[in-house]
Formats: sequence, C-alpha cells, structure tokens
Amino acid sequence: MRKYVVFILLLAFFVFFQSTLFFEKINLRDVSPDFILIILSIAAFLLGPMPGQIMGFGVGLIVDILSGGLLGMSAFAYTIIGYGVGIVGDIVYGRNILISIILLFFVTIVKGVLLSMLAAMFLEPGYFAYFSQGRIFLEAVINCLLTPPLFFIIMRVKKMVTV
Amino acid sequence: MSQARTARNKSILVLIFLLFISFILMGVSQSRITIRFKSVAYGVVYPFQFVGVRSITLVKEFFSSIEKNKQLKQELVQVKKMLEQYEKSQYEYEEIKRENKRLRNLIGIQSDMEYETVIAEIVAKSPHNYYKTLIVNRGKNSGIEKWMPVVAYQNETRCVVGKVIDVQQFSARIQPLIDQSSYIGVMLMESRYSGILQGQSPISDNCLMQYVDRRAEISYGDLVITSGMGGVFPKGIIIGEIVSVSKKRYGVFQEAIVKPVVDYGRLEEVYIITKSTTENTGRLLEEE
Repeated sequence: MRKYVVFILLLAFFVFFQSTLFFEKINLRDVSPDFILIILSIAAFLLGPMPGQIMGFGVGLIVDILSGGLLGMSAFAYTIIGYGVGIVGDIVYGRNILISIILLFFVTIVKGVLLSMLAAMFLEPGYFAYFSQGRIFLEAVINCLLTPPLFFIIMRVKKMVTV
Repeated sequence: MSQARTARNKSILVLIFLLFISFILMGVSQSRITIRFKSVAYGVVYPFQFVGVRSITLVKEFFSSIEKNKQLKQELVQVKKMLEQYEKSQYEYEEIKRENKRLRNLIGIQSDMEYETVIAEIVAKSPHNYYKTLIVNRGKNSGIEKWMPVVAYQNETRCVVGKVIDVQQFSARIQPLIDQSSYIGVMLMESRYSGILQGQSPISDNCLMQYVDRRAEISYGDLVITSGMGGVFPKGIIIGEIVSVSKKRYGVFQEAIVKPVVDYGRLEEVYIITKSTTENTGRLLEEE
C-alpha cells in the first residue's frame, strides 16, 4: 500500500512541478521533458497493468483539468500507456534501468502518436505537426536521459518503503 | 494460472471502462455541461495547485535569492543614477503628454488605451506540453471577466500576452497568443496593412500572420500591433516582429511569421485590461 502512496505523491509533485513557471526553462530547443510520463511509466513497470492504468487515468484527468484543454485526451493516452507498460513489466524479467530507458523512448512516441491523433480528431489537424516535425523524438530522447536518475531514486525509495 | 488469467481479464475490463469514459469526455468536451464541469473541477483543484506550485517555487526562490541579493546591491547603485536622469526627463515628458492630449482633443481623436488594468501574478502554467495556458491569481472577485485582454511590460515595452478564457472566484486562465486556437486582429505598424494572427503552439512559439494584402511590403523586423478589430484587444499594442514572409505565386494574400515580443519564460506579472467585451463579440467568441 505504501508504495502506491509513494507513486501517487511523486505524480502529484511532478504535476505541480510541471505547472511552475521555471519548468518552462528546462528545455532543449523548446522541448520540455514529461516527468509525469516518466514517473507513470516507472510506476506501471514496477506495479503492473492495473495500478498503472488507474494511475494513468487519474493523473491524465488532472492534467486535462489543469491544462484547460480537451478533457479526457491525456487521460486516454496515459491509461493506455499505464496498461501497456504494466503488461511489459509483467512479461519482462528483471527491473533494470536499460529496459526502462528503451521503454520510455517508445512510450513517449506512443504518447505523441495518441495525443496527435486525438487532437486531430477532436481539435485541429495541426497538432499532428508536433509529431511530424520531430519534436516528439527529441522529447523521447530527453525523457530517456532523465529516466536513469529517476529510476534509481524511485528504486531506493521503494526499497526503503517496503522494508 | 487461472488466477493470473482472471486478474488479466479484470484489468482488460477496467482498461475498456476507463478508455470508454475518456472517449465520452472527449466527445462531449465542447458541450456546455462539460465546460461547466471542467470549470468547477478546476475550481476544486486550483487551491491544491496553488499551494503545490507555491511551495516548489519558494524552495527554488530561496536558493536563487542568495545569489540575487548580490546582484541587486550592484543594480541598486546603477538604478539610483538612472533615476536621477529620469527625474530630469520626467518634466519634459509630462509637458509633451499634455501637449499631445491637447492636440488630440483639438483634432477629435480619443485615446484607445484609456482602460483600467488589474495587475495579476502568474501562479501556474499548464502541466501539459501541448497547451500553454497560464493561471493568474485574480478572478471574479477582482472584476475579471471572460475575454478580457492581457498585456505585460517586458524590456520597457507593453506587449500582448493573451486573453482570459476562464474565470473562477480567485483565479483566471489566460490563453496566450501563441496557442493554436488563438486568433487576434493585427496590423503592420508601419504600412498599416491588417491581418489575422494565429498561434502555432505546440509546433512553434512563433505566430502566423494570415490574410495580409499581397501589395503590402513586409520586411524582416517590421513591428506587428493589435488592430483593435475583433473587439477584444485595444488598438496599438505591440505583439511582435516579422521574422519571415511567405508570398505565394498566386492568391490575394500573403503570410508572415511573427515572433512575439513577450517571453513567456520570464513572465511573472501581467496586466488584465478590465474592458468588457461587447455583447455581440462575446457571443461570437463563445460560438468559436
């Protein structure tokens, strides 16, 4: 139970962190990392598909409410990601950093594809360009680079909590 | 084995249920009930966001303030010198202002910028990389209404930030001009040719100026200002400068890319012009 609380608190922290003005300054060529996605993926990878998808839906819905954008768009994408990564976590043996880095790369691309498709369906087709202009690939690389330190910290915290 | 299968089936059922709810929410996102729900939900989440963001910002500011203190002392000396110079020029400025007002009255022109403003602090931004909305700490209690224009002062220039799109009791959401669904009536400061400025975010932080008369000579660095058309923004506020022009071989119009003057990364305070949008304009904006 305590490990769920840790992940929920981490997700809440990063939702607020990504809402701060100085988060805007953490960018590479105007592309910022998605800490929420990283934490969610690590959570789903370690906890499985059920907690992964529920956390994904919850955090996605909060992000949608705070963003003032299309309600349900992030919830949809994060639910799929939470479930998918959870399934991979169930199949793959071992919990090493390398797997989570590779996973994060693909997960970011999947997020980009899903959000672009949903935005094109419900908003304007122009959002597809975020994907086609390569920004999502850059975001994937940034997320991959940030995964090892976060994974390491989370594993440490998880160990402390479960002992 | 069967237990694992049951768990998997259960998680698939939950997945379908959650995706269904998300899809329904997206489908009815533009309906009045959902917009109202979103607004109420945001009102509930806002206090948590406010406290959370403030706490993180305070920790960050504590460390940066130590370094800033040294800089401030040096700046204070410089500012004192500058202030002396400004005081001298202030008298001259007041004289020119009075003369300008008198001459405007003589030729019957009224100032477009005689609006009252409410200063607001930006407390949060959208956590989503796709949306660039900003949250300020002024709401209905400060007389803020939907569609009110928002400006800021950066590098001693008054520039457009965006417009208010949602108002709560103690907070309001601002749609920046770089947002893809933002449209503003603009004109070129020099040649006075008008056009419509559309945001390009999340693709780019620059904006696209459309429907500019083909005859207009646009060059790099030309300033773009609000045209006053559209009923939201008063005329003459600086928006940005031209960074590129695209003139197709055929067609009546040309397009240009505009780099906004406002730097959203450095924005801390904004001024909300407390000018109510005319009833007709408001209705049209609601229908968009």
